Amino acid sequence: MSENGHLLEVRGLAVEFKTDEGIVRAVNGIEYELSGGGSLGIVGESGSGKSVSSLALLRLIPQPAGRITGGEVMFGDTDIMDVDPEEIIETRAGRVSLLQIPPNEMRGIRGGKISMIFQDPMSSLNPVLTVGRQIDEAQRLHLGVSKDEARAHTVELLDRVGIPSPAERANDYPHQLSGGMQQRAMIAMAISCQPQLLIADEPTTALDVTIQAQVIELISDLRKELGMAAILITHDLALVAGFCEEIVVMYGGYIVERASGRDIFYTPKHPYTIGLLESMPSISAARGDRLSAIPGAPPDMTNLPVGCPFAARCRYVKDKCIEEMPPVETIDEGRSLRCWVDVDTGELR
Amino acid sequence: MSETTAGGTRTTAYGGNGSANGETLLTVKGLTKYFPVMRGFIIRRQSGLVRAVDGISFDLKAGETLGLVGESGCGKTTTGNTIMQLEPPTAGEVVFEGNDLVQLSRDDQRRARRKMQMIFQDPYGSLNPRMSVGRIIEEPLQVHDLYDSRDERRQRVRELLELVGLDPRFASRYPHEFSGGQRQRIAFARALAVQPSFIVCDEPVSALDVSIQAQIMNLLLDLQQQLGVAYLFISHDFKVVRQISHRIAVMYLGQIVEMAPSEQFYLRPLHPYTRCLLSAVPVPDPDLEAKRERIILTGDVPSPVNPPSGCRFHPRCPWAQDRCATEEPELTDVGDGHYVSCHFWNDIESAGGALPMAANGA
Repeated sequence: MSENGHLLEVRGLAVEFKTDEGIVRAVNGIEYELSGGGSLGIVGESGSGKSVSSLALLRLIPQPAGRITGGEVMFGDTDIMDVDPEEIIETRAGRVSLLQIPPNEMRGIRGGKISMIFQDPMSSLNPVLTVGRQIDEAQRLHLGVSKDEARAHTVELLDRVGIPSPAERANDYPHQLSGGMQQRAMIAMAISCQPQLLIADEPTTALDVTIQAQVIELISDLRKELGMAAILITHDLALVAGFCEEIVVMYGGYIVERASGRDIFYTPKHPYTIGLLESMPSISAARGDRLSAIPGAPPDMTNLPVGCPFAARCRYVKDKCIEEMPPVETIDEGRSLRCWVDVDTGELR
Repeated sequence: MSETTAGGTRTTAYGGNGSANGETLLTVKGLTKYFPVMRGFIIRRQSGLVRAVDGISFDLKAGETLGLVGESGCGKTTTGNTIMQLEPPTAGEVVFEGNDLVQLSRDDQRRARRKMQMIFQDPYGSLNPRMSVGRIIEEPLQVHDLYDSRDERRQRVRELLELVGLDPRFASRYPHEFSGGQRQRIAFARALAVQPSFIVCDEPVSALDVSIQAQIMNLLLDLQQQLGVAYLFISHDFKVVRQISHRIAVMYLGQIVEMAPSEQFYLRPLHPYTRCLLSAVPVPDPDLEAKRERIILTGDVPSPVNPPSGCRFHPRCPWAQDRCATEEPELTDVGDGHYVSCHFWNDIESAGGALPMAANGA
């Protein structure tokens, strides 16, 4: 762990994809950090770069179309000792960026110290292997335990994530489980090697509301129980309200606002965050109330504007916003913003 | 009728003003749809029935929106499809503007369907990629032979594009050139082309981003205001349904378990399933989230092939008693247009919706 106690530090991370339409600048230099045992929500719409930035942490960007073009990712105790000194290009505070360690080292981290669960459990599980075998496999690879030890632990894990008759279910194939059960099995697999960080990418989007509540509660309980940090990536602001201590809002590949969960909801400062909150339907609203929709559509990622990517849709827009990209500004302890305008006055800050 | 209404004098058929006090447009009675489950490869045998929709009844007034909400597999989409006669119902009546659609011949059904349109969830899959947007919107006008000349049709297409908030010049473009939200607007333009009085909207905003969702919801409200069209709005998202519906019906395993005016669901949910569903909806407010009591349902939705005996919700219901496993409750009128199908709704309400002790300990 670094001297400032951060488990994860992301600095200037940038990712590009080459496509037929041109270069998609999916992530454009984002920065955040996460303490051990902490929880972070990454919120954004499709194409905002929220998933890509997390895949980049694990170096899972599809090659050769995608490329991490810059930045560093400092993680926990990934220190210089783990790596052949010849291979290190850059180090900081005795640690090396995840983006620079050799691929075989990365495999040890992926699924071991950092694990990830995805939106669609059916396509993340291998359909021709039993669920139990897949969970065993992760432990045997990362922890080097015997077959029997792994299976015993697998059954415990399945029980912990709330799968009934876990010993039998371990012998089921993925298609024999419901969507909610599959996601639970994915979670069991993700926590099987006691990761320090769990990344959950839209873990409940494919699930029904009542199952969604079960799964979020499960992740939340496990996080506290195992003391692991968690990153929850979602398009649904309401989902992170009860879950995350800190939230970053992404737009056009940039982090536009970063604040505590409370501040994001009660005193949002970026026009996009405000728009997002206002455009959410509420269960207590009257029928027929028009929602305050954000006009327009998300920017073309192959052709991002010179200025703020949100300027075209922003109700506070000023000339400066179109001409120049606003820098990241720290406006309060643990709170930063990428916007020229002070939304309280409607004037340039 | 406002000036902006597309079609000018041709829109008299709508007659509505967006209020829901019109006359009954659609009556659904005992609608049932079973799908056979087949086994065997060469000798096919029927081994069971998926009871996708099992005897549901409701009516819909002109210009009204009925929200149909439920989890996946509850039969809400099949309900929409059987009402549209896209799939023939196993039993029941669908009376639309005085005719039982089930009894009509195919030709008559096709004519009746001019007044009924449908919007699908996936705006990518529901528009023909090889047709220009203009052709897509023009096609229903040709099918129903609504205009004499091509020029008139083209004019109407331009009006429709404007009506749904798109640039009329887009008519020559192809679906792939549009974003998800824009495609859903095109789907609305196509549906509105034949001046329907009723549109089934099957998860029309579920595939869209939050900020775009709000735009399409507003469009739906505006179109209803202008054209007086009635919607059957099918969604799994209570918040979205709440926003748009005059009345809401909650479905569970092929049956309606509660139906009431929209605001009643927030003020006075009665069915245990509705209570659970509402408590599971996350709210964008950390303090409220921390305070409120969640009823976390155990287990999954049971299979509609073999639905539980008695009340279909009883295996998951925190308030279930012995009677629930044996006796099926009926959808009963509890006043103010509020219907609920639960033996103990009254007791649960008197107890303030508090969970029974046994469930708390679980």
